[in-house]
Amino acid sequence: METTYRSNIMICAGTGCVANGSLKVKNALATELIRRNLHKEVKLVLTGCNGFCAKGPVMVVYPEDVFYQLVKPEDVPFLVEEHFIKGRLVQKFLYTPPAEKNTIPVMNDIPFFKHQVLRALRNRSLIDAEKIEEYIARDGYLAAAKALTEMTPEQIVNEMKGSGLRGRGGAGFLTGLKWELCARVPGDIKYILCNGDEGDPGAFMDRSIMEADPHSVLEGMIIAAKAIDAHYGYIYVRAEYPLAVHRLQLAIDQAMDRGLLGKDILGSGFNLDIEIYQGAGAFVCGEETALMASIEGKRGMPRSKPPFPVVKGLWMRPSVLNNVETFANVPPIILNGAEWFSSLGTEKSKGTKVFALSGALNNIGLVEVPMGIPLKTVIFDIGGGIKNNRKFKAVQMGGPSGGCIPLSLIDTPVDYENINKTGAIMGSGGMVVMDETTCMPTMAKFFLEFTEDESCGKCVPCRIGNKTLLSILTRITNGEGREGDIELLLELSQQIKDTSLCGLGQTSPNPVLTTIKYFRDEYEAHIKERRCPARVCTPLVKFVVDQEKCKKCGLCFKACPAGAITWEKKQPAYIDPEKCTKCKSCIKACRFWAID
Amino acid sequence: MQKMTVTVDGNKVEVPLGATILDAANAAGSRVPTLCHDSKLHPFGACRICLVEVEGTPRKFTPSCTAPAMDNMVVKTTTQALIEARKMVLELLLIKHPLDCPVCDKAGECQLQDLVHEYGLAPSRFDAEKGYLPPDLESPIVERNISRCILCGKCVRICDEQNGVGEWAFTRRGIKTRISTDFDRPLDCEFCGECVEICPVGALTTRQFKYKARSWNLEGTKSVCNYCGCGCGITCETRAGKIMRVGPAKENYLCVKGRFGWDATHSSERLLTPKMRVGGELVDCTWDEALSVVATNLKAIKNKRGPESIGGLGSVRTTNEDSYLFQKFMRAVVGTNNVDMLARLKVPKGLNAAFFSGELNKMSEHEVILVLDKNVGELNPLTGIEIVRAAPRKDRKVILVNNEFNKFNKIASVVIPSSSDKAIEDLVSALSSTKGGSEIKKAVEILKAATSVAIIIPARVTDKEFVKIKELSGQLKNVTHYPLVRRSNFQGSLDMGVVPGYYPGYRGVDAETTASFASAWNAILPDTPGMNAVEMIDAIAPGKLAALYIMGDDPVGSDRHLKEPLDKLEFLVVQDIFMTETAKIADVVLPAASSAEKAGTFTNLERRLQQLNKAEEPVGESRPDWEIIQDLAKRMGGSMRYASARDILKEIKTLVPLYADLAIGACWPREKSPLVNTDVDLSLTSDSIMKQEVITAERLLFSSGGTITRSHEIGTIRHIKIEA
Repeated sequence: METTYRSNIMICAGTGCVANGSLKVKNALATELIRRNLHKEVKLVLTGCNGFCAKGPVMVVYPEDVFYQLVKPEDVPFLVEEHFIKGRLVQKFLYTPPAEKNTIPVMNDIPFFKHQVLRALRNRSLIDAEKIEEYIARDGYLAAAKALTEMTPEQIVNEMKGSGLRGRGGAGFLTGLKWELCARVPGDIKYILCNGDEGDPGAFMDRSIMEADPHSVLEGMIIAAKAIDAHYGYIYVRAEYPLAVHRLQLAIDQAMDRGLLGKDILGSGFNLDIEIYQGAGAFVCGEETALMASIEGKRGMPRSKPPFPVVKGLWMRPSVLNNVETFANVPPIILNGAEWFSSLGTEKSKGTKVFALSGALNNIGLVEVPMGIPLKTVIFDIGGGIKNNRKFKAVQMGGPSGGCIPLSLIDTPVDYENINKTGAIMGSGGMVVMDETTCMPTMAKFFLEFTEDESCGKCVPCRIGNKTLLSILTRITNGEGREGDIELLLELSQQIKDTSLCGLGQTSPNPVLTTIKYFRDEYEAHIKERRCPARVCTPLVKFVVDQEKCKKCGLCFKACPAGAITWEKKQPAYIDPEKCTKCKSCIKACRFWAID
Repeated sequence: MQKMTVTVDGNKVEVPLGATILDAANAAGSRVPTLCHDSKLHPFGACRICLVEVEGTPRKFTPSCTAPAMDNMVVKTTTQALIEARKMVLELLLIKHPLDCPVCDKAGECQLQDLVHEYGLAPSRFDAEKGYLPPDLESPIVERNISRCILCGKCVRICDEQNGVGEWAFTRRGIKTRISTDFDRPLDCEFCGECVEICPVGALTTRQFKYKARSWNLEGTKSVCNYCGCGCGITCETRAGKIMRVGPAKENYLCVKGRFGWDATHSSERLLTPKMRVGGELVDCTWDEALSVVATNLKAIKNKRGPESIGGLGSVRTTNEDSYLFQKFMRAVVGTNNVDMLARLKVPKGLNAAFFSGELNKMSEHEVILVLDKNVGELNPLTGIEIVRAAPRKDRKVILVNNEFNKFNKIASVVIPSSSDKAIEDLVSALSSTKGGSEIKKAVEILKAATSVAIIIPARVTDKEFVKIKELSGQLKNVTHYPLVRRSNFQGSLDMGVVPGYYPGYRGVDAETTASFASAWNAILPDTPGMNAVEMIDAIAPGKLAALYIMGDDPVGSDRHLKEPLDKLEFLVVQDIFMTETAKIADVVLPAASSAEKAGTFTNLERRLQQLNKAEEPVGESRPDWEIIQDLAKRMGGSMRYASARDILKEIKTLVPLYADLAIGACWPREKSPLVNTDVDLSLTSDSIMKQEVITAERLLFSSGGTITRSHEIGTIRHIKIEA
């Protein structure tokens, strides 16, 4: 019989926490537990991403459900002594919400976790990703068994269609419908493909699922394969995700060993082999046809649709490609039924969605929320509001293909339809939050730099159009904007959207369009007044102290590395233009927007 | 076939299932502009200029070149929004594309130029970012101006999809994307120039045409390539009566020889005047002097030794009219059947009877293509192209016999890694038993299941292989043979009776036929069969053959051992376009016009009658072969009165049943040949003559005998291809 422990420490071993030293903390804990002779009473478990990356390394202690954050290896002896020997909560490592004094010890009482509903991330902080037994213990592969032994492909498709699950990769196509279309296409060879080529800057939900719960992806793929009668599958993962590749491979091997993959799965007579294909990191390879070209060993360049992949996909065979998160959502639907899944969400957007919060938030990390939750809740309750007491300006949703949503639309419910109405997109679920120190034309330029570089170069509008958008944005942010540039940006953007070949070009102007839509005054300030309201565009900043706004605090004086600022107590500061190197340290230091 | 009705700009058209919207628009007579589309290639959808509006689709525009047409679809091709979108695409292209049209050889036939003109683009609202990159000046034949490239990818695709070479590829991403070779090295390919031909702008141009002429000043003359038996249609483009460029006839393909090798006709080695031997030296003379000398000598030898002591060696590169007149001259004027072609030593056995060729453009209709000669792409490039076109595009299976590696390996379903003779033997024995290696077994399995098979017959076949291939063909269903024929008008010259035992049209030399030709030609014809080429050569040493008239062939150039017997001749006449090795030892040299300088017909390996037209005036004093022969005949008392090559063809049509109703562009049917289903073999073998191939396999594509070696352009490739 296995040892029973009185307590479990679940240490986050997601990429974020590992980068913050969680493996060192784990080693320190292991040593300390042995030293204190507690290693037979307290078990250490490395889990996948906990989600609260801002506070890494994080750990959860069961059965109390206590959440410890920002633990360093040198703190470990103290923590062990206090918590496991003396039985006291260690206040020092407990979470305190911003602008509050009292700590919150229990994980699910923390606002970051309280509003979340975990479905795709159902095994978060509960299992060791490298042990198939732990996945199985949480009803893992039960859905696959049900699908393989009790359900017909039609029943699976109907269950999926009934659930209303839509593709979590961004476009939001009904998953069940996609499977049905492919199932109907005749063909002896079909492929089931998983898109793990998460390329959006600021998105890390797929990586987290592949690292934390790889079996949930495999199980989803098995069910889908049964539905469309595919016997071979590929998981396309970018090579920049080595931990995801490692854990997926481990999961495949373990599943093979236990007869959950390969020939005659669970004695059902159904065969499925899954192989990992590592992508070289081209953003466009997240586009389905480019991804398939890449697996075929060709240059990752999209092709026109139709024919759609469900008819002619990988190697011209019918193929279904779903995103990692989509597959992770499948097993609970099969197990609990379509109604259970569709009980959450809005009319057309069912279930939950995982978001990657990043940017100027207090609580950056990974969250899963029901569809339809107001954006405000995500940003201010879960995300804990804006860092450094700054003001919320906008949130960029959907990465470089998405758009920004301003404060005026902060009550927008988060679902496919409502987000699309704002001009942004759900995308794969990246949310980059910006405060008032962000210059919107510069932000648009940043994303255009990305898409311009990542365009495959096949079609003219995307290849040259995006470069031209970037050139215009560059001259605007350089203070060389011209009268009519805004109109030119709008027209060119619309044409690129209308005429580009693939999703990359069809969405790449969204950051430009939405920033102009909501922050046109900033563009006008750049072009007409030669002024950057956020003081970001260096060529447009004068580096002059506004005598009226200056509170004479001297922070700028202390921050200046060039000695260009003269200041005395109760006197406004003065910047010597001869000495100023325009490094903007003073602007960052000033709390009163007194430097123009 | 299922039809779909599509409404394009208000016009209803019916298109077959599988047609694209572009096809429907073309059928409806609506012009949709394209840049990256070509009917030879798979749809690509990159340029976005062919966008149209389709009612009821979620997206505003639909690319017509890639989108399939659907039943009851309503399409608009020219709305204001579409014009704006196309203008934007052009405007974007012009940001990068240099406006160096005045020095661009493509000007006047540049699709981008035409579209910008058509859409009347105002000055660009965008700043130009031309991003000049220096042209690639290292590659032979092709000059690459990367700055002008609009990345339509046609060169990449044609090289891969049609030629099976894959020399070009897209490299880098985004605005830095360009078309490149491996690591940007200079071109090292087949140099067919198809990429240049298909390039819609001036990114790929040829050195040969650089700064030669403006395209709008060129006049086109349709003719036929003179390099191999495929007989590709060509268009000679001339300015002021000089060829500037040669391109393929519509929807055709040209290989390196066809496209660039024509400049041999402008070679400085061309014979400009007749020459005669005076005191051991060949000196220039007038036509009158030269022809008098020939007539006098031939008459003298004929009178002294009899007509059998004179022989004629005809050509596989002259027109049907030339060949016809040559044999008529030998038979009716000289009075001997000693007329033959040395090239019969180098053709596949049974070409005339057992292995009649199928039509090349129908090769892809066969389910399986069995390639018995790995050098097919070099020997008959068009045959090679048809194989590549058939395999990936139409999903045909290719079984390749190749003990090395070449471009066909990539498209082959099965590669049998052995020599042709061994593979043929193995295939035959595996068909009746279960013996053989895994490749042979797989090949046999495919062959047995196939409802139709195209077999590429090797260029040279031994007696043993001949029997085996026939045996193999007998066991398969619906077999079409594709023999490889290296000489352009070999078939035609055979048809015209440049063989000792047959009058034109394979009518054997017997009393009855002789009588009928004698009355038709109004001449006394010899009643004994003549010597073949090998016998003629062998007859020189014993003194049985005293004079030889060689038209358009260079025996000494092909086999230097032939110089010795030919030197012993009393009298040697050589009629050629160059001062060949044989001409150098001749007593009289008569300068002939090249194929570009005369009209006439060819009959290619498919037995297709093809029209040659005169693209430029004969150089110097050179004259078409038939004219020279006619003049000579007159001086020797024969009666030949043809005003043009067309007159000769008229006579051919009355005397050769195969050609009686044969229209230009049609193939004469194999069933009509008197030799069909016989064992007659018109190929020759010899143990002593032309044993060695002058042209080795690796040079095949860039060589085809004496003419091509005089091409300056081909010479620039030979430098890297052969000397490297």
